Amino acid sequence: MRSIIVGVGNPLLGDDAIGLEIARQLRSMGYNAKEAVAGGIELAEMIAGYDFAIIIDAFHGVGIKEISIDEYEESVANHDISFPSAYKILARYIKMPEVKIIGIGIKKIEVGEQLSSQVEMAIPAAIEIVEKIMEDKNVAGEG
Amino acid sequence: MKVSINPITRLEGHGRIDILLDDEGNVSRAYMIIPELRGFEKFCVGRKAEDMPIITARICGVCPEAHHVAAAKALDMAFDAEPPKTAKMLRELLYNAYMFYDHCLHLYYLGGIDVLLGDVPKEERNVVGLIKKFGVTLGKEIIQHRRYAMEIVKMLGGREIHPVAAVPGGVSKGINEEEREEIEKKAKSCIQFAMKSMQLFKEIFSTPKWNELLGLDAIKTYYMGLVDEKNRVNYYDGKIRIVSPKGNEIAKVTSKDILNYIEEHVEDWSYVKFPYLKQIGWKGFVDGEDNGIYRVGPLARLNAADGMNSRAAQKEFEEFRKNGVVHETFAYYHARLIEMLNAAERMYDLATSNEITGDDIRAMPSSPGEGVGVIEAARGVLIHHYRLNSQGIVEMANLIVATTNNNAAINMSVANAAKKVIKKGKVDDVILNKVEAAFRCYDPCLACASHALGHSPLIVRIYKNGAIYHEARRDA
Repeated sequence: MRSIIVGVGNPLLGDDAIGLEIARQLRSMGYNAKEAVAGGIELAEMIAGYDFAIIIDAFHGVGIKEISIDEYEESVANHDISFPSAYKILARYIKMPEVKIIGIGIKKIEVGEQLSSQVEMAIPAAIEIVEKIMEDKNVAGEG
Repeated sequence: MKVSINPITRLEGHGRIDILLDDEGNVSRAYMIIPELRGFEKFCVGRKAEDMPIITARICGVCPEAHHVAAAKALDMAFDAEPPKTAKMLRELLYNAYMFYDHCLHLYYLGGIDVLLGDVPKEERNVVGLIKKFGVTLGKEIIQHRRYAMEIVKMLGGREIHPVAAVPGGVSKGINEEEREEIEKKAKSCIQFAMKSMQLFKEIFSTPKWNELLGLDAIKTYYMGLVDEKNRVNYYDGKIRIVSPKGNEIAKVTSKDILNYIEEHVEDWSYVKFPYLKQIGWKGFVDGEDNGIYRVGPLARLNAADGMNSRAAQKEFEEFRKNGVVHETFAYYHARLIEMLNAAERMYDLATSNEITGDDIRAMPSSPGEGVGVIEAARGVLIHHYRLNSQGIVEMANLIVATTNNNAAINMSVANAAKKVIKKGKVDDVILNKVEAAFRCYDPCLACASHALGHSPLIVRIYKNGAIYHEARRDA
C-alpha cells in the first residue's frame, strides 16, 4: 500500500505550523511525510495516486480530532476550490487515496515562528494517533 | 444603496466589494476593499538575507515560485553575484513551469469559468460544470498537465509547491540528462495541451457572448511588463517597459531604477495602496494618458511588448495585437492563453538547450548591499527590494506585488462592470457574478496584496440610503 502523510500549515503563523512540525517528526521516524504550505487543489494534487493519506492540520478549537473530508476547510490560502471540492473533482478522473484528516486544536493564529507550549504538548499524542492509524493500515514506517 | 461582494470567489486571498446605489437604484460608486494588513515587510527585518527566498515564498500558498525567484534576484544584486548562464536558464525553466500551471489553474478552475460557461446557475459554475460541458477527456488533460508542470517545478526547485533551489548568485542544484529528457517530454505535451486550450477558448471568442463580456469594461491605462533585448515578453528577466495607452514606449528601465518611476497613492478606505507612474501623476480613478494608472499581468505584458519569444505564441500575439493596444479587461483571458502556450514552448526550448545540464550554476556572493529583484508573477510585475547590513542581515524590505500594482485598475473595472449590469436596484446572483468576473480577469491574489498571511474569504455588499440592501458571501 502506498501511503503519504502531509502536514499542512504556515510556518510563519505560529501554532498554524503544528501540522508541519508533526510531519517533520514523522519523517524522521521513517514515514513518507511531507509538509505543505498550501491547501485546496495543490493539497489534493499532492496526495493523488496514493492508496492512503493522512493530513494533519490545525483547527480553531481544543484537543485532537478526526475531521471528515467534507468538514475540512484548510486555512492557508483561500482558494475557491476547497480541499473537499478538489478531492471530489480529482476523484472523478484519477485515483485518489482513502484520507484521514487529523486536526490539532489551536487557540489563535498570529505571526511568529514558534509553537506555543500548549500546542507543542499535543505532538506526542498526535504522533501516537498517526502511528496507530498506519499500523491498522499495515503501512507502519513505510518510507 | 451599497452592494458588497465579500469575499470574492475563485480567487486567492480576501476582499470585499462595496457597491453604492443612488435613489434610482443605479450604481453611483463601487470599490474593492482589502481590510487586512499585517506588515510582512517588518517581519523580514532582522532576518538573514539567504533566508528571504524561503520566507517570502510563505506569504501565501498561491505563487511561492514568484516570491522565491524575485527574492533570489534581489539578493543577486545585493551581493553583486550575477548567476552563470546555466543557473539563469534553470531558474527560467522552473519559472515557466510555474507560469504554465498557474495560468492553467486560472483558465480552467477559477476565472476562466466565467468565459467558458457564461451565465450558468451558481451550482454549475465550477470545473465540474466545465467538464460536463466539454467532456471527461478535457478534465483528465487539465489534471495531467498541471501535474506535469508541477513535477518540473519539483525537479528543479528541490521540493513540491515551495521551491528552495534559488540562492543568491544562482541555484543550488542542476539537472542531469535523464531529468532533462523527462522535462522535454512533459513540455512537449504541455505545448499540445496549450494549443488545444487555445482552440477551445477561441470558439468562445467568436461568439456574441464574448463580445458582451469584452464590453463590460475597457480602460485606457498605461501598461508595464518585463521584456528581453528584442522587446519580447519575458517572465524571468529583462528590462521593465512601460507603454502609454496608445502603445508608445515611455520608459524602459532596469529593476534597479523602477522604483524611481512609481509613486503610491493612499485612500482612507483601503489598506492596500494605489501605485501610479510618478512622471504622469495621480488624477483619481479615471483612465487616459493624463493619469498615471498602469496595469500589469498578461494583458499588460502583451501590450508592453512587441512580441513573444516562441513560435506558436508569436503567431497568436500577432493576431491578438493586430489592431494595436488592447484595452478590454476580459482580453486578459486571451493574453493568459497566449502566455500559457508561450510558457510551454519556452520550457521546451530551454529543456532542449545544450547548456541546461551544465554544472556552472552559482556565482559566489561578495559584500552585502542593496538589491531589487523584479519578476513577472502570473498576475504581473512583482518587486522585492532589500537593504542588507554588512553582516548580510535584512535592514529594510519592501515588496510591491502584482495585485497592488493593479489595485487602481481593478477598482475601476469593478465600478465599470457594476454600472453596466446593476440597473434600477435589480440584483441577483448572475448579475453579481458579472461584477466579480470583472475583478477575476486580473487573477488577483489579495492575500499577497495585503500580505495577509492567511485565510481570507470575500463579501459583496450593496448599500442604498446608507443601509445594506443586499449581501452575498463567497466562502472558500
